[in-house]
Amino acid sequence: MKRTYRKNVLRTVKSSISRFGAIVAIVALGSGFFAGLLTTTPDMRYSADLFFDEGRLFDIRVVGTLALTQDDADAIRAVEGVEEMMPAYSADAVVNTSGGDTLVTRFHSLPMDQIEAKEPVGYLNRLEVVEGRLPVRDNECVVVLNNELTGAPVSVGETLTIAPDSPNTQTNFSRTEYLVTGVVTSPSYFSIEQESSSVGNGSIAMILYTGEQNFALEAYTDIYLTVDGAAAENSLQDSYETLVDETVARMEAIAGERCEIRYNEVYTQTREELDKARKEYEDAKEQAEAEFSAAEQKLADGREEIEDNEALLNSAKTQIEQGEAQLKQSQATLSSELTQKTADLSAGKAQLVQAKAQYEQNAALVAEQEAQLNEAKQQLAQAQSLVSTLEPMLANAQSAVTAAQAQIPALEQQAAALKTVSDTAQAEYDSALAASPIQQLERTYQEAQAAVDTARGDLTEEEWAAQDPVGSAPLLAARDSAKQAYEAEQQRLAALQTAAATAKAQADAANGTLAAAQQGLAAAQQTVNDTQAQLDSAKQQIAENTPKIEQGEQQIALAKSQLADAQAQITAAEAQLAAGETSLNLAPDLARLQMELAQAQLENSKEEVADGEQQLTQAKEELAKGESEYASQKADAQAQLDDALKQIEDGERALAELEVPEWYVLTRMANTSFVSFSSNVEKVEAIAAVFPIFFFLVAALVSLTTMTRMVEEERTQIGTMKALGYSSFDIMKKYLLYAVAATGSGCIIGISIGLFLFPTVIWNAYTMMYLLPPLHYLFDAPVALTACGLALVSTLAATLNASVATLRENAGALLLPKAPRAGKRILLERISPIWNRMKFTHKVTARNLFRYKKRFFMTVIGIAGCTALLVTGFGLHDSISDIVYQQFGSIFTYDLTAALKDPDKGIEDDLSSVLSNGELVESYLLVHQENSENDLDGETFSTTLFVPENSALFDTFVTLKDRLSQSSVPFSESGVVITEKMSERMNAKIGDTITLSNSNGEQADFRVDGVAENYVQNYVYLSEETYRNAFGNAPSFDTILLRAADSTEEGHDKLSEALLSAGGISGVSFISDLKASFENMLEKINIIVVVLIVSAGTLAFVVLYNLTNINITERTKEIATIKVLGFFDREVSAYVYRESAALTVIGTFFGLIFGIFLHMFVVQSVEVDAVMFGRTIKALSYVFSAALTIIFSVLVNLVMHRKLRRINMVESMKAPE
Amino acid sequence: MAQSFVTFENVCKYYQNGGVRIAAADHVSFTIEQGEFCIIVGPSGAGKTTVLNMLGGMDMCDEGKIFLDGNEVSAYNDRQLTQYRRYDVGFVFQFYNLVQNLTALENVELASEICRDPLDAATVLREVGLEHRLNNFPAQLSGGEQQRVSIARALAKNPKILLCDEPTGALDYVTGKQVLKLLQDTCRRTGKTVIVITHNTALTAMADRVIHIKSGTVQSVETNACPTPVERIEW
Repeated sequence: MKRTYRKNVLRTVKSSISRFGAIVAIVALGSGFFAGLLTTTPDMRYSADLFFDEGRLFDIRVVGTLALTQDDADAIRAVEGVEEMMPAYSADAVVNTSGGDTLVTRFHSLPMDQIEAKEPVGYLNRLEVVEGRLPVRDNECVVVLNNELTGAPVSVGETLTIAPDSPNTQTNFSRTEYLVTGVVTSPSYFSIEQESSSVGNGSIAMILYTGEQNFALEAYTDIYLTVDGAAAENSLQDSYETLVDETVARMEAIAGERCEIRYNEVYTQTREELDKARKEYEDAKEQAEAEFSAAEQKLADGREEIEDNEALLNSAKTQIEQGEAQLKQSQATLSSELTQKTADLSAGKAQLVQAKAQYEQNAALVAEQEAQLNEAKQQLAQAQSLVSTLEPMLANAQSAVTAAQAQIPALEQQAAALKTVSDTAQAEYDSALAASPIQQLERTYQEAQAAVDTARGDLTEEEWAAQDPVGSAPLLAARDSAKQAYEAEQQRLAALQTAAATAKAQADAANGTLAAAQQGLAAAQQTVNDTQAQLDSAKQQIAENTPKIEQGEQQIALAKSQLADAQAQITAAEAQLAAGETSLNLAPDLARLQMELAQAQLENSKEEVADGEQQLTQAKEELAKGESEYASQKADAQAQLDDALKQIEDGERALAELEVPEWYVLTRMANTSFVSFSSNVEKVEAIAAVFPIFFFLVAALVSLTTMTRMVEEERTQIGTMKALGYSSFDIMKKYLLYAVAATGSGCIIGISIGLFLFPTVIWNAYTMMYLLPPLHYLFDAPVALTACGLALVSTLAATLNASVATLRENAGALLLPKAPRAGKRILLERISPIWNRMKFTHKVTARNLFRYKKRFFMTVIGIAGCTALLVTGFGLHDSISDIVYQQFGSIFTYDLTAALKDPDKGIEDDLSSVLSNGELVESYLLVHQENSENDLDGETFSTTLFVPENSALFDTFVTLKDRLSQSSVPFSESGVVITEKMSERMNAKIGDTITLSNSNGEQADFRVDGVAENYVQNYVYLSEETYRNAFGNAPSFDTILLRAADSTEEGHDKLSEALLSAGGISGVSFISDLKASFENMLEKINIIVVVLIVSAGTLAFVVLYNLTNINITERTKEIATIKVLGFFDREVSAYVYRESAALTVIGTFFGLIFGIFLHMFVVQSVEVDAVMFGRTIKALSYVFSAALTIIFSVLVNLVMHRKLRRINMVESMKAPE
Repeated sequence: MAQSFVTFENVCKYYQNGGVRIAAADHVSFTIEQGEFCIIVGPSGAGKTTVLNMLGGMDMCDEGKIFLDGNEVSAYNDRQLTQYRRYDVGFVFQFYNLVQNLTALENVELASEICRDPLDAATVLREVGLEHRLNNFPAQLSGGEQQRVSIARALAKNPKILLCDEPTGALDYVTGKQVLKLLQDTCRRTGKTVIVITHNTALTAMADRVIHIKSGTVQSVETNACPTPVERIEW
C-alpha cells in the first residue's frame, strides 16, 4: 500500500474517532455477548468436571438392600471397566453438638489408611480440607462446609455426641463421641440443597466423615467406583454417560447372582442363629418347668397338713358353742319368769292406783252437784220476792191512766172556743183594711206637699213663708189638712190589727195546754205495760225451777251411797298386793349361783381352742409366703422365656419376609448436587442461545449504517482519488481496511472481555448455591472465531455495498457535491390541522425521521431491543418471584407430608394418637402419590398421580383453581384434574382424553375434567374410584398430608419429632423447607435479570450514541447555521434531540411488544418440565422498562450535548461537501 | 465624538497554529454609519471573514472593542452573543445554508419564529420576488432563488444590521447581480445597515463605504458620496 494512502487511512480513523469508536463498541458488544454467553456453559461444565475429577468423584455407586459384603466388593472390582473402588459405610443419626445444637447428621466412612497417602488407592470422593485437618485418631471426624455464606455447621474442636434416642445407634455405630478436627469440601455434596433422612426431622443438616472403625455395621452400605476412561470425559456431557452406562450394565448383570448369594448367606446365617436360639429356649423352658413342679408339690403337702389341723380345731369350737348356747338358754328362762311376776305385781298396783283415782273423781262430782242445787234454790227465792214488789206498782200506774183520760175532753172544748174568737178579730181587720181610703189620702197628701215644694223653690218652708206669706199660706194649709186626714186613718187601722193579734195569742195558749195533757197520758200507759212484762217473766221462772230442784236432791243421795262401796273395795286390794311383793324379792339370787358355775367351765375350753387357732394361722402364713415366692419366680422365668420366644418369632418372621436383595447401580445422575447443577447449566445454555443473535443483528445494522454514511461523506474524496487515477479497489480498500480495523478491534475487545465477564458473572451467581472452586476459562477458539468472522463479514459486506454503489459513479459526478436530497412532504402534512399547529422545529424533526430510513430502523430496532431486554429481565423476575408463594402458599395449603413405612397397615395406634392430638395437628389427609412416566414425542414427561382418600377434605389441602380467572376448579369423582403445565405439554384440554401410566407402566385413559393452576411439578388429581377403575387395583394410601396446629418453626419441629417417634413413618418433609429451597434456587435467576439490564443499557447507549453522532456529523452545517441564526444552546440541542426522543418513544413502544414475546421465549426455554413459571409480566415492569430506556436515552443525549456545544459556527461558512 | 453605528477599535484576533501565532485581525479599526451599504473587500485570507464573524457575534475578539448601536459587543458573554445574533444580526451565507427539509416559507419562518419583532415571512419572500416559490423545498429552487430565501430569512428577523458573506460567491454573474441589487435596494428602501464581504473589488463602486482589508489589517476606508447602481457595474 502506498505510504500516503496508509496515512490517509490512519488520519481518517483519527479524525472520525467517535464513528470508529461506535463501530468498535457495537461490534465489541455483539461479539462479546456471542462469545461470552456461548462459552459460559462449556466453561461451567469444564470447571465442574475438573472439580469432580480432582476429587475423584465416583462414577458409579452401588447400594444393596441387604448391604454389600467384601465378596460383593471383590466381585464388583472384577467387573470390566472398573478403575478404582471404595467400599464404604454410611448411616444417619441425630447428633448433639457441644455447642448445644441437635443436628441430623449423615455419617460417611473414610479409608483411614489411605487419606494421608501420597498416592492413595481406593480413596474416592476425596475431601478438600478448608480448615483444620483430616482425622487421624479413631475418635476424630471432619464435617462438610454447607456453603460459603453460612459456613460450617459446627466448628473445629467441638465434640459431637450421638443422641441417646437416635435410632439404631447400637447396630450402626461403635462410637458415640466424636471430635471435629476439620472442615472440608466434598465433590459429593456441593449443593446447598438438603438431602432427606429417615431420622430426626427428616432433613440432613450436616455431613460428617470419620474412620471406618467407628461403624458397627456388618456389611458395607455403599460401594463407590470410578470407570476406566471416564475422567477423560466431561461428566456433564452425553459421551460420559454413554461410557459409564456400559459399566453400569455390566454391574447390573452380576447383580442378580451376587444378590442371590447374599440372600443365601443372610438366610443361612439367620437360620442358624434362630435355630440355636430356639434350642436354647427349649432347654431353658424344660428346666424351668421341672423346678416349678417340685416347688408346687412341696406347697401342696403343707396345704394338706394345715387343712387337717383346721378340721380338729373346728369340732372343738362347735362343742364350746353348744355349751354356750345352753347356758344362754337357761339364763333366758330364769329371767323371763321373774320378769312375768314383776309385771303382774306392777299391773295390780296400777289397777289399785286407778281405782283410787276413780273414787276421788266421783266424790268430787257429787260435791259439785250439791253446790249447783243450792245455787238454784237461791235464785228461786229471789224471783218470788220480785213478784211481790211489782204487783202494787202496777195497780198505782193503772189508776193514773184513768185520771188523765177523764181530763182531756174539757181542754179540747176550751181550745175550740178560743179559736173562734181569734178568727173573728182577724176577719174584722181584713175588711176594715180593704175598705179604708188610706191610699187616696196618702196621694192627696203627697200632691199637696209637691205643690209646696214647687212653690218654695230653693228656700226652706220657713224662709218661703216669710218671703211670700200670701202665696204660701193656702198651699201650706192644704198640705197640713191632707196630712192630718192621712195620719188619722193610719191610727184606726193599727187599733184593729192589735185586737186580732191578742185573740190569736189566747187561742194558741189553749192548744198548748191540750197537747201537754195528751202527752202525760201516753207516758202513764207505757209504765203500766213495762211493769206487767217484768212480773210475767218472774212468775214463769218460779214455775220452771221448782221441780228441777227436787230431782237434783234425789240423785245426790244415790251417788253418796255408791262412793262408800268403792272405798271398801280399795282397802281389800291394797292388802293383797303387799303379800305378792314379798315372795318375788327372794327368787333371783338362787338362779344366779347356778349360772356362774356353768360359765366358768365354758371359759376353760375356749382358751384351749384359741391356742390351736394361733398355731394354725402361723402355718397358713408360711404357706402363703411360699406360694407368692413361687408365683413371682415362675412369672420371671416365663417372661424371659416369652421374650426369647418373641425374638425367635420376630426373627422367623423377618427371615420369612426376607427377600432376595436388590442392587441399585447409581451414577452421578442420582447425586442431588450433581443433578441440580447439571439442570441449572442447561437453563443457562437455553438463555445463552437467544441473546447473542439479537445483539449481533443490532451490531450489524449499526455498522452498516455507519459505514454507508462514511462512504457517502467521503464522496468528494473518492471522486478526487478516482480522478487522480487510483483504481476502484484501491479506493475501496481504505474503507474495507477501516471496517476491518474497527470490527477487528471491536471483536478483540469484546471477545476478550466477554469470554471472562459472562462466565464469571454467571458462575459467581451459582457459587451462592454450589460450593465450587473458581471457574476455569477455556479459550473456545471456534466460538471466538465464529464471532469475529460473523462481525467482519457483516461489516465488510455493508462497506462493500456502500463503496461499490458510490464507485459506480464516474469521477466527475463524484467531484460535484451530491445534490442535497430534496425535502419531501410526509403524510403528516396532509393532515393540516395537526401540521399547521406544529412548530418548524417539530416539522423538521418529523420530516427527518422519515427521511433517513436506515437510521430510523437502526435506532428503532436498537431501542426496541433495549426495551425488550428490560421487559424480559423484569418479566423474568415477575415470573419467578411469585411462583413459590403461589405454589406453597395458596395452592398447597398443607404444612408437611409424612410417608408411611407400610401403607398396608394404615395408620397405627401410636401414630393415630399423634394425628388426633389437636395441639399438634389441625387436620390430615391420607393420599396416594404415584409417579407416572409418560412418553411425549419421544421424551419422558413425569407427572404424579395424586389420589386423596377423602375427596371431601381434599380442598383444604390443595386448592384447585384456574390461573386466569382464579375461579375454583372442582375435584372430579369420575375424571381427572390435571395441572396447567401438563395440559400445555400434552396439549390436553377439558373434555379431552389422555393416556397415563402408573408406576408399573400400565396405561389407562382418563377424561380431563379440569385444568388447575400449578407451578412446581405436575399432578393428576383423581378419585380412588377413578384410579381403581383405570388400573384395576386400589391405590395404597402411602402419604399423609398434614396441617400443623402450630405453624411456627418450633411447632413444626415438635410435630415432626412426635410423628417420627410415633413410628410407622419413614420420613417427613416440610413445605416450608421445600419453599425455602425453591426460593433459594429461583432467586439466583435474578442475577440474570441484572445481566439483562446492564446489557440493555449498553445496547441503548451504543445505538443512541451512534445515531446522534451520525445525526450531528451529517448536520453540522445545519446546526452551525441555526446557531448563527441565534438559537440558544438548549434550543439547538432540542432541535437535534427531538429526533432521538421520537425514535426512543417509537422504539420503546415496539420494544414493549417485542419484550412480551422475548419474555415468553426465555421463560419457555428456561422452564423444565417440573416447573411452570408465571406467564404474565406485571404492569410495573413495563413502566420500569420504558422508564429505564428513556433514562438511557437521556444519558446519551447529555453526553452528546457537549459535542453539540463544540460545533463551531464557522462551519456554516464552509462549502457543502 | 458621536459614536458611529458600528465601531471597531483596535480589534485583534489571533489563531494558534502549530506553535505559531497568526493574527487574523491585527488592530482593525473602522466605523460604519447607520443605513450605509458597506463593502468589506480584500483578497482571500485577508481576514474579512474573521471581521465578519466578530461583528456577527460568531466569534470573539482577543483585543480591542467592537460596538454596535452603542453596545459593546466585544464584552458580551456566550449567552449575550446568542441574543445579539438572535435579535440584532441578519446573516446571509455564501452557500445559503437553507434547511433542506423546510420549504422556502418555512425556512424564513424558522428565523422569524425566534425574534421579538419579526416581519411577516410571506411578505418578505414576496418582497424578494419569490411569491410563487413559497412552498418549494430548497432543492427545487435555483441558486439565486435560494440566496433570496436566505436574504429573506435574514430580513424577516428585522435585524439592526445585515451581514452578507460573499453572497454572490456561489452564483453566476447575472444572478449575483440580481442578489446584490436586492441587497442594495433593501438598504436604500428600509434604511438597514448592510455589510457585504467580497473579494471582488469591482463591487466597491456600489457601496457607501468601502473598507479594504489585507493581511488582517485595514488598508483603507473610503466613503463614496454617490454609489453606482449595481446594474451599471461590470466585472
